[in-house]
Amino acid sequence: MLYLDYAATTKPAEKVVDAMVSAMREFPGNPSSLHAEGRKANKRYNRAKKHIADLLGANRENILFTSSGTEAINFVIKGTHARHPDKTILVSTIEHTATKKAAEYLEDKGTSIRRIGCDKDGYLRIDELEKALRETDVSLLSLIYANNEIGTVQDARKIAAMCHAHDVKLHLDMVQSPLHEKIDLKGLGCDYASFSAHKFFGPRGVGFLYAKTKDDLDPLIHGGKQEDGLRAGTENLPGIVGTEVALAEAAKHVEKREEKIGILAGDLLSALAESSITWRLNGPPLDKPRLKNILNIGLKDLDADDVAFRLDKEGIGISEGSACSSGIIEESHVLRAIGVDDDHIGGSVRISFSHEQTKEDMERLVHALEKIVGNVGKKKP
Amino acid sequence: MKKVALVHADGTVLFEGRPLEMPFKKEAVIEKSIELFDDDDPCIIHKSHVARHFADILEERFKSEKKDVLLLEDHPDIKAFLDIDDNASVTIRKTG
Repeated sequence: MLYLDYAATTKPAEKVVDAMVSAMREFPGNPSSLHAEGRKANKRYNRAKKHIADLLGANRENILFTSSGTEAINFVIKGTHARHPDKTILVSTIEHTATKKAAEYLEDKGTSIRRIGCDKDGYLRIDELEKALRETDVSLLSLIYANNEIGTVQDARKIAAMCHAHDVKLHLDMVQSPLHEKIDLKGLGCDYASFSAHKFFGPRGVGFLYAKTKDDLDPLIHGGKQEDGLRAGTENLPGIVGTEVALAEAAKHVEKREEKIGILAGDLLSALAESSITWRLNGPPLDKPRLKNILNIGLKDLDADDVAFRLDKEGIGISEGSACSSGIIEESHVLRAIGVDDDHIGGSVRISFSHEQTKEDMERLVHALEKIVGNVGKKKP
Repeated sequence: MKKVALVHADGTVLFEGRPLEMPFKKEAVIEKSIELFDDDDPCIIHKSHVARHFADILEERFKSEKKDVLLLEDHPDIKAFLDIDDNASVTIRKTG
């Protein structure tokens, strides 16, 4: 299969799998145990945590392991709310479902949530943010740094400075970022950042939260004293080791891989431009700050689910971007928030690739799209 | 294939619309959902995906038979997933 759904998940690298299998064999002890097996596991755990922190420009004590990016996001949003129940939490209108639903959950319980809009490319409206920071008693802005649907990358430094001027903490959802930029968390100036290993050729079931300070967080999961008493549960050491290896590989190759991804993105858009397909790029153009491996393509008047189904039959896997909620299929709130018109929103598909693809793969996709577009059902009026 | 109609032998139109919205047997949907996802309680997305598979089977059959009308009695595998009277004589037609 020509897999073009890297924003959904990536296949663990062989090095990662090998490291995890070795860790399962070599470190069977519980890192919390004080006997030799436990100490051996604890040493490995600490080494992995320190290495991960180093790779991100952070310190060991800033990293808190979780089971996923979603858990890390819930942790910071609900953990901050628990400390500041009377304050407002800000989110953008183009958040990942993890943030969107966590905010809606709190809102249903009576918490003040304020949503900051974005422009047509998905960049946060700075004037709206400034107004919200001025008018409201805010504890946290939770913002998707690199958007998982349209690729927009926010100006984190500027936004962090604005937040800090109002004594507000900034959480960045950086789940999509590690494969695409050398991350310097201190340099970005955020207070929290969420990550998920399976997005960068690591294992599923491992995420982590960067916390500049942990004073303002309540735990989400209670039990043992793991993760400095903030996230109970025996450490997933094989997964953590796999995450360490995956992140090190990502950091080592990021520049070269990103250069290739940029070329592939250009190849894909050129092939689309030369095709008979009527389309638009949802999100920013390639010359603006963005992830170049996530291209959201709006196919006029078509049904994205049908397009994805037919591409699957052709051996090409993409994302149709719909989600199930309360028994109905919802259109993308992200595309709606950036003002994608009715003619294109139902036919918008997400193509996400990696350095592993080729120009020929991009051409194959466009040829397949051309072939199926004539057969695809029109979207329901 | 944009639209299809299910027509009874007596001329009654039992359904006309998008193939995805044909009346599918609940049991057939669950059976296919188990085959595709091992999911015996499919959510709307899985149900919708199953419907696409059924619609695709139908579309491919129209193509292979090179016809715009099929008598369902001749295509028991298609009849098996449609929620129509098992004893009725029904045709399915491309109408758009």
